[in-house]
Amino acid sequence: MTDNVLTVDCSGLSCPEPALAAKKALTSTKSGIVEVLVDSTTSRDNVLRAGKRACWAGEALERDEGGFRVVFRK
Amino acid sequence: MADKRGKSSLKRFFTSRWGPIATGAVIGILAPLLVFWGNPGNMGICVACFERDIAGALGLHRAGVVQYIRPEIIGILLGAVVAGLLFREFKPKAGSAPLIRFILGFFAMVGALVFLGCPWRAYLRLAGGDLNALFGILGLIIGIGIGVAFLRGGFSLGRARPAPKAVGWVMPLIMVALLVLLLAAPLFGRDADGNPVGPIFFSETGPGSQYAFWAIALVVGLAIGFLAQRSRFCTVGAIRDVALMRDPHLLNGVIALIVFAFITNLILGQFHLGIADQPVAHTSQWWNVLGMVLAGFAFTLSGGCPGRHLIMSGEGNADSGLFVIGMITGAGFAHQFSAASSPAGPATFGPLAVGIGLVVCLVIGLTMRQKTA
Repeated sequence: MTDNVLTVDCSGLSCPEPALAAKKALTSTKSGIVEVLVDSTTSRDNVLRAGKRACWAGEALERDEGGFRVVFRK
Repeated sequence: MADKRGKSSLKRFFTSRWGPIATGAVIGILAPLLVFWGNPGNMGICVACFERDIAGALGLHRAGVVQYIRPEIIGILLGAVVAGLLFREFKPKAGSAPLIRFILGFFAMVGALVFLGCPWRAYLRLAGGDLNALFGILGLIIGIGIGVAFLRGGFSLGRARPAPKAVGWVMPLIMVALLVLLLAAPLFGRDADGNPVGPIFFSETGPGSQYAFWAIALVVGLAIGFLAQRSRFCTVGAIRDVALMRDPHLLNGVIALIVFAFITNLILGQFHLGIADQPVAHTSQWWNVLGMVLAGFAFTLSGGCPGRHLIMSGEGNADSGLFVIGMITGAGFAHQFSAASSPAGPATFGPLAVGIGLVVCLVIGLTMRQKTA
């Protein structure tokens, strides 16, 4: 069975929207995979920190088209 | 190889929790030193005041005491360009409600000039013993709190998109042009009374006539711009992130700034505790609070403090560039329309300008929202 993936596209949004959207998605989801798309290293780091605070393990992957895909699993 | 390893450990250090702390500490040490080297009291660095001085130097306002092209501003933005290029974070982008960002910059400046300082200077004033700054900081916290409420409710200025390289180079090149104008100091002549007719104006008295040697100011700006780009130092994000995310990452940087500026001021004999007769400050506490409520609100809706917008402009963010130009324009209007305070207190139309600014920010806050997911 594959997990449902919830994708939140935050590319191009300014601070603190990506971190806030990540927090909202992660606190309203119990388990599975949540991926957050961002376009800057600043947003990547902010989203990773927001995930840590919400107790999700996250990793950031560079996207071919630029920016990052931050993937959280629980 | 060693160079690459050095770069990656530097990268990790500045994005770690120590990044904002180190940046705050460096600003906290260098800003009082700039005062020691000639800048106005408790104004080692003030992004709002210095952009206002630039507006004056360009003749956008005729307040003769606050006209100078401040190399610190040029340095901060260009320092961020250097860091951005070196670490591959110079990424031109544009298109997130540019005109709204201009207006937010405009009224953020109006609010800051009613208080007499940006958030950086509010903290530096406190670290110099100016207790009026506490009222400004209180206002800043309230303003950011209002902005946070809008963010929680779904406020958004929408997405920026990647833009051609040329878009990202506009602000850096404007800074280079300002540096040329500072050094060339063109003067087209004098009027019948012997006053310079411009095009560039330099104060002969007042805060605008007090400055550290340009090369020192420029190098300090470059260093701060470099560090702040690496660490994402932001004095508005500091309070916002605690309120919104319970995240003290950036707040630690502000605390470091205050502590190190306090210690440096003590060592240099620049710490003078009190309310009356503080340098470039007034004691009208209502307007210290309300000016910064407006500034904090506008900064929060725009995504960062004015220093952070200089840094993002240096990373190629044209929307932040327009925010900076909005601030410079706002400074011109604030002085021309008698809205900017002076050490004597708020000006005639300061309260009205703050009222208009708050209404404009409320309308922006209520009307700008996008679906983010």
